[in-house]
Amino acid sequence: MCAAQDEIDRISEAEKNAREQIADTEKKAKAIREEADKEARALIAKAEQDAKKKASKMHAEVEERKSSIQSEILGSTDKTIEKIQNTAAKKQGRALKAVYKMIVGEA
Amino acid sequence: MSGISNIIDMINQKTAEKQQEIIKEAERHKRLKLEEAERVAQDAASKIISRANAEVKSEISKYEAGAKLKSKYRLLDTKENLIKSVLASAEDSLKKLVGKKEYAQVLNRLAIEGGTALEEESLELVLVKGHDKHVDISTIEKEISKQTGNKVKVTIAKENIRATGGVIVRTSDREKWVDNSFEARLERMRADIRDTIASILFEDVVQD
Repeated sequence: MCAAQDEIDRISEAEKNAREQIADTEKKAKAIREEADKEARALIAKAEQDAKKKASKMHAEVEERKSSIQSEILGSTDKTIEKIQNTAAKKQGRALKAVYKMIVGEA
Repeated sequence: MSGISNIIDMINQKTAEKQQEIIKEAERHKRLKLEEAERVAQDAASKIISRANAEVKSEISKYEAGAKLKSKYRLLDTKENLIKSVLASAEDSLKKLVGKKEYAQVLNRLAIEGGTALEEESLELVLVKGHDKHVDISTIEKEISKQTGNKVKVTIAKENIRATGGVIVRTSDREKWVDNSFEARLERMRADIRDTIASILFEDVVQD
C-alpha cells in the first residue's frame, strides 16, 4: 500500500515538474515573441528613419543642383549674349542702311 | 528499470518534446515576424525615397525650366535692345538727312510714290513747314503722269504736317491720301523693318 502511494506521489511530482517546466518554457516563448515584435518594430522604425535621413539629404542637395543649373545656364546665356552682341555690332551699319533705305523709299 | 521509472521518463520525455515544440514555434514566429518586418521596412523606405526622388526631380525640372525661360527672356531682351538701337540710329539719320542736300531727292521720291499710288489727276502735297523749298513740282508731276498715264497737277497745300520729314500726298478733294512722312512710314513698315534688322543682325546666331 505504501509502495503504491509512493509511486503515485512520484508520478504526481513528475507531472507537477512537467507542468512547471512547460509554464516556464511558455514564458520563454512569450518573451521570444515579444522580443521579436519589438525587434520588428525597431527594424521598421530604423529603416524609416534611415530613409527619411536619406530623403532629407536628397532635398538638401537640390539647392546645390539648382545652383549648378543656374551657373550652367547663366554661363551659357552670357556667352550667347556676348556672341549676339559682337556679331550684331559688326552688322549694325548694314542694318541701319537697310532701314534707312526702306524709310526713304529706296528699297 | 521499474515501471514507475518508465512512466516518469516518459513524462519527462513528453515534457522535453513539448518544450522543444513551444520554443520552436516561438522561434518560427520570430523568424516570420522579422521577415515580414524586413519586407515592411523595405517597402516603407522605398516609398519614402521614391517620394523624395519624385519631389526632387519635379523641383529640379521646374527650376531648370524657369532658368531656361529666364535665359530666353534675356536673349530676347538683348535682341530687342539691339533692334531698338538700330531703329534709334535710323531715326537719328533721318533727322540729319533733313539738313542735307539729298533730302530733296528723298522728298520728291516719296511724293512721286504717294501720288502714283493715288492714281488721281489733281494732287496736293502737305509738307513740314519750310520744306517746300526742297520740292520740285514739275519733276513730280512729270513722273506721276508718266507712271499713271494721266496728266497730273500737283500743288503744295497751305497747311503743314508735324513730322521730321517726308510728305503727305492727298487728292485735292481730300478724299484719299498717302502719308509718306518719315514717322508714318516707320510706323507702317515697323514689322517689316524689325524683321529686316533681325535678319541682318542675327542671321548667324544659333537660336538656343
